Amino acid sequence: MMARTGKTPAQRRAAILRTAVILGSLAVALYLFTIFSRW
Amino acid sequence: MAQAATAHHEEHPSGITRWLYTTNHKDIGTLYLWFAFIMFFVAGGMAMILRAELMQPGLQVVEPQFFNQMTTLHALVMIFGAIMPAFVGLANWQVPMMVGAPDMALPRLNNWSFWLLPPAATLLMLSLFVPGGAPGAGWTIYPPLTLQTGMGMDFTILSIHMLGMSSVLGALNIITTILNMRAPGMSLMKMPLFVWTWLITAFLLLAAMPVLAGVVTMLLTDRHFGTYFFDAAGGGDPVMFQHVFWFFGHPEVYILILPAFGIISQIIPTFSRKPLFGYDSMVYATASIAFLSFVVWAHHMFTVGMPTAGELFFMYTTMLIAVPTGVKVFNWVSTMWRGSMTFETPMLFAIGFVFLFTIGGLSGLMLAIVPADFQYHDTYFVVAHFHYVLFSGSIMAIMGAVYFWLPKWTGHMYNETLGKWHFWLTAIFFNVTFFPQHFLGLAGMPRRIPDYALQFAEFNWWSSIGAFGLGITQLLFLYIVVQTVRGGKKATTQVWEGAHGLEWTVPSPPPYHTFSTPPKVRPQDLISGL
Repeated sequence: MMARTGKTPAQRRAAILRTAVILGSLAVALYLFTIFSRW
Repeated sequence: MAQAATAHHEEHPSGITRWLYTTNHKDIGTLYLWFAFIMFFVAGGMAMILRAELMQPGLQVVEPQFFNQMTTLHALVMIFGAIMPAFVGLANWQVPMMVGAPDMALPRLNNWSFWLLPPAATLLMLSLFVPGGAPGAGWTIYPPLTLQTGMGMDFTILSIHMLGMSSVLGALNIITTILNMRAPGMSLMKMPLFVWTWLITAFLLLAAMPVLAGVVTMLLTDRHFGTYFFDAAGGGDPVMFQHVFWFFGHPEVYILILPAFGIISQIIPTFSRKPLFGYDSMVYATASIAFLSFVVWAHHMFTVGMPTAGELFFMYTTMLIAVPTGVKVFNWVSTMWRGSMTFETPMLFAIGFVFLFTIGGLSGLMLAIVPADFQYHDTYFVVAHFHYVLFSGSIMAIMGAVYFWLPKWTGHMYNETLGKWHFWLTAIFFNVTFFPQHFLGLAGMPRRIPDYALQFAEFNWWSSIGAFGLGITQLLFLYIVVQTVRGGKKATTQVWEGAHGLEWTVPSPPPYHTFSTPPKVRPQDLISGL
């Protein structure tokens, strides 16, 4: 998707943070869904 | 000036703080690999206890309750303590170097992912010493039994939460690194197969581990906080636990094997001196296996009783997995076809993997057939099947990877003669241990029992002899690794004549920081040969 070409360090940092937050949120959401879908 | 810059580059704290506070992917990779190695011996020691008890019919060595605790801990420690951390260790060392990144995308998170593991493993071990001992319900920790056991189960639940969190954070880091940190020219379809298989594995981890964490949280609230998710006495459903557990459990099986596929896809082209055959199909096959792994979970529980339509669905989807797996085996064999092959230790492990893992795959197909599974379920046939997948699959691939990359990591060549001895003894003793277990299972010997009928005595005796040999052989592996770390013939930059990839362009051992300036990816650096 995004190779290091053509990105400033700030843009890369933002992309890293964005990916990490999205993935982390998905994991937490899945954990809560597993429990509360059966509450 | 250049020298000063290099010296600064190589600076790192020494002593214990280097390892406690490290954010360097190579250091963290080393920590993961040593942790996995220690856990491999701990869980292997437990296997020796099991096989000592099973060597003869009757009860000789341990109490039945302790035997059950050993079966449970052997599995949990091997899966969560040895195989998974070993793969994460390999990913830490290799993924940044293979994609031309200076480090993992989130180095501090990387440190935390590792340091969650030792306390989690300690908790799991401590469960042996609390009243009631460690859980003896098997690694699947099915209720209602696990609702009724002592506080060792609570230790295990907490430990599983920590292990799961470590895996999720590690997976998140790997995905973020691969998507955002690749060198110019390293497009997705040019990445080494090991990176591809790890990317897909990381998505599996991210989708599977929270489900495991959820189900063990529910187990905890059932035990202590008055809920009745799984307790039939309060309207709960124990079978639901099995569904949720295996929704995690089956992708977990692929989490334990996909990185191994990646390793084999690196080793075979190197020692065949040919580009990997069918690179694109390898990527798509891996993705197909990952997708299918989420729609086959109930094949682990055919015998609980489910509608025929359900049984058929899970039987057919399970059999479908043989197609992409077959594509992979075909591609490995085709890569070797007319290659200029040599048989150094990593290649021996890779070829051993292709033969023996395929046996495990075929016995898996047998287990996928519903009426046949009613016969095989919970017998030693299943034990034989998953050891062919997990030992001669995952663990032999990890061993092959260690021989393949150890010269790069340490700057020293290992002792080739000893390496070959290690391979052959491992392969022979592995088969002596586990092949007879197919026959035991077909004859009806149940798994997870310390005693058995006289008719099973002979095969069990052979199996135990093989297991002791297999265990002792791994001490040779430890010796070879320690010897290589301490010294030996100097390894070249490329190490192997047929090696292609960015990791083979940096010195052996690599500097503490690699690719601070993004490398230029050349066609000859690509495993696909494109």
